[in-house]
Amino acid sequence: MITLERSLNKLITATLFFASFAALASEPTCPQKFKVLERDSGEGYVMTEKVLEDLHCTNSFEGDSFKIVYATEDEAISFDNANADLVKKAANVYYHLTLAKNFWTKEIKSSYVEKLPQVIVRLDITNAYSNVRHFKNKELEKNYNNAWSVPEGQMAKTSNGEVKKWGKEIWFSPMKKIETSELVTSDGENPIHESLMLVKDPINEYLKNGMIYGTLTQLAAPSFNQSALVDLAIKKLGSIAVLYGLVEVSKHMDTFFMDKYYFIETAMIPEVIYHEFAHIAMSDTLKTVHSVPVIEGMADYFAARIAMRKEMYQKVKDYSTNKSKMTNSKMLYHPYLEGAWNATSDFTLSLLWLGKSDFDALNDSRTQRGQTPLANYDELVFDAHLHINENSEIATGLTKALVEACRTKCASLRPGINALNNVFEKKGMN
Amino acid sequence: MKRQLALLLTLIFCGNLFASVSLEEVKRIKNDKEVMISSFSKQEKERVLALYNDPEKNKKLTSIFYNTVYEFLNDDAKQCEADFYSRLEKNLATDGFQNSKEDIIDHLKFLRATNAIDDILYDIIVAISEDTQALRAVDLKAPHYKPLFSHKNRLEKNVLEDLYWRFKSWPDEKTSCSTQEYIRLRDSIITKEADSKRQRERYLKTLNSEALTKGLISLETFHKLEYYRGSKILEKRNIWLNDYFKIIFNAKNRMIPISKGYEVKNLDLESKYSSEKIQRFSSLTRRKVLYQKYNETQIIILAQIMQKASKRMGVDPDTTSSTPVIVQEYSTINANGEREISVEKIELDTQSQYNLARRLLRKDLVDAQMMSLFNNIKITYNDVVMASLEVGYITLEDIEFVVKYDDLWNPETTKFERMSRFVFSVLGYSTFFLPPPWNATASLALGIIENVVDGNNRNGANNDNPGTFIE
Repeated sequence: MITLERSLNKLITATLFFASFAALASEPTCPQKFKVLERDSGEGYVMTEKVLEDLHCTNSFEGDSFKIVYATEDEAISFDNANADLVKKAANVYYHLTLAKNFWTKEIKSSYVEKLPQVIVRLDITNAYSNVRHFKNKELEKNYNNAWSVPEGQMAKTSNGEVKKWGKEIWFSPMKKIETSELVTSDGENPIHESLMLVKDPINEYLKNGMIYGTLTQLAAPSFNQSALVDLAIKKLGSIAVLYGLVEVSKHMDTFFMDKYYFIETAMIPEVIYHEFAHIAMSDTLKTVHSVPVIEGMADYFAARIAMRKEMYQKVKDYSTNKSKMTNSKMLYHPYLEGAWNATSDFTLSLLWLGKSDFDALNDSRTQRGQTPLANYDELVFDAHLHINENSEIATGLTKALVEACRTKCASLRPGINALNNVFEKKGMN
Repeated sequence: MKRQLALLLTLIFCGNLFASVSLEEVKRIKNDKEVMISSFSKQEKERVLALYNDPEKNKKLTSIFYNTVYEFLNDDAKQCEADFYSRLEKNLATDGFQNSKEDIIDHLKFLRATNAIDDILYDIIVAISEDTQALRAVDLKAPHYKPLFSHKNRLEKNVLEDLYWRFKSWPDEKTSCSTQEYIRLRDSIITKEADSKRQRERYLKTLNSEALTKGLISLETFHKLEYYRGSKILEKRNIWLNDYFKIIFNAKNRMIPISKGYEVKNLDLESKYSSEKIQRFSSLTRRKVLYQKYNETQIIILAQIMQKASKRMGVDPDTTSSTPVIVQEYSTINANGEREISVEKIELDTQSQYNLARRLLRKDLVDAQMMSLFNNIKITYNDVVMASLEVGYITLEDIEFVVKYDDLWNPETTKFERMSRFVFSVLGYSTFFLPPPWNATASLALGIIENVVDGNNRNGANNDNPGTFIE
């Protein structure tokens, strides 16, 4: 009898334990309306009222998936925060992160993202990241106009044996206006210089030929006035000199074609938010501590998939004067693009996007023939990230990973792999 | 002696080549390769489909045709084309179908329109029908008039007894076939110029007449041979019924990968490459060219070249290919006079692997060309593609990709590129005729426009990528 009582007690305890666990998992939500930024197809935007569905009933920006905090604080930003600008940014980040997470779980069907614990999102943080202390001291380094994802980590054990841990986080630093002239390091990325480079060769060729013909005429007809030949030489050589001079001068005119100030409020730009979440979503194999062309390009690709924009990170009135990345960039491959300093290049994005266009066309064609699609290209790119790491290069790692992914994801092997080969060739990787 | 040897050979090869073909296997003649009909028009197809509107009767017609092929192939006698046609006529009549020449052609059109047969078989049977019907209409009793000129030189070159001994009586289409014997006769004639078809035909006229005069052949045989000599249908034919069946039963769909990943749902929507005409005013398609140029063994060999290339590029459905690696060993003398061995291993990138497979495919093609099996046949890359499709190694979907493999050594230029090259060269020359300073201005402007156009249409395939080593 005692045994039975004990068994019953155990059963009730277990039931209560699981019931309380289930209650924890599905904490009640209190949807709230906020205005968030929605871009138009150009540089404009509108602030649209949206419902943030899965907010906990704590009157702050915290849900199962995200907690938006201010700088290095631990508590979620309250709806009643005195800083209205901060609340606006928090609402915007929360809304777009939710969109991003839905894309990754519903479209890409990533079980990794599905199981992600709550991600802490820090707004207006100027500290740099330290893998041993979480935050570097403000005095050491201050960040503006930037956003980045940080990996989980822990501090060294303190004297009282306490270990401070942190999970995956996304950091958005505040916007700061910087004079463009202080930042420009490029030579010749302006329309005048580019136009001159285009006409330089034909003009040069024409002037050189003119000189050769003039000299030959002099040899064939010595009666030709000597001074006329000199005159011709001066004119042609002079033109060549002027041309080269213009080319050199125009190299330094980049700042004339830029906005006076550079600034970007990363927490207000939807593509930046999608991009940072993509880093988190792929952090199982691509650790977020590295900024290399393959990792950045893949994050750009998924950000572009959610935003569905041709021109990514395009300027936004009041919030950004950032330079765009083009999904349809015609840039061709060069090993120079593998360098970490080219992580901001749009080559990887355009390579992956071209693959999407070609696979879309092939999928359409197969559907018209009553076949199943060749592959879900997004899943293919996602699967590719499992075959690479933060040291992978575009020409070796990424291309091979896409081909490997196609082996399991493509309905037909030859069309899938050869379609990828054709994409690589179109981007000059042969 | 010669005659005995020929008889022996005839007896050896008289046996049935297809004795073990089952009725199920006969269905291999169903069309699954040709998307478009090249033998007759779309209107004709619609007319025939409207005419044949009784599904039960249509099923029966298809069954009669397959059974005729089955009977024909399993007969112990030699498979003669005329015999096939007679069987078809007889079987149609037995089952209550019309069997006049026009009716049979309509039946064949129906079979083609419903993909029960392909264009090649349709063309062969129509040609047999035309010849058989025309031969039946020849007046075999018409008197023979001796030619005005004796052409002694033609007669001196050829021994009539050796040429005509198989025509002492007209072939019975069971133990010997009239068309085959006629072709043998035609090709055995010794002429002044070996390759002149026209001369061969003139010689044959003289020889036929002389054979009749000498009593080597009968008047009926003479008239039949004369019909064949003048038959444009026979002259144009390049694919014979038996050769067609040999390819169908020994090569067609014989190399389908085990892990087949593509089933055709609607043939009409697939790639038209195989059934596209290679010349504007000809019904010759790429597939017909394959059947004309190659036998079943050659087709298999060509398909194996594609299989090898596919394994190398990692697209063979049944093979998992590793990344190709170049390994080089170095033996270097060090300061102590000892040799140190080091090994360099270079792993190929994705595009280098793709390009290597394509380059080796070209080499394999050249190697095949050197084989005696391909004497006097010029192998083209298109033939390799068609052979691979025929044996089922590649699917109709694969064609779009496979036809691009040869772009590496035979790049295809787009219409736009060809047009722009032409326009710029014509305009460039035109500037010579302009007065100064307009000539210089125009040539400069053209140079700039050409640069802009080229810049906008940059081809990735021409990009100079220093990071790769197999281009």
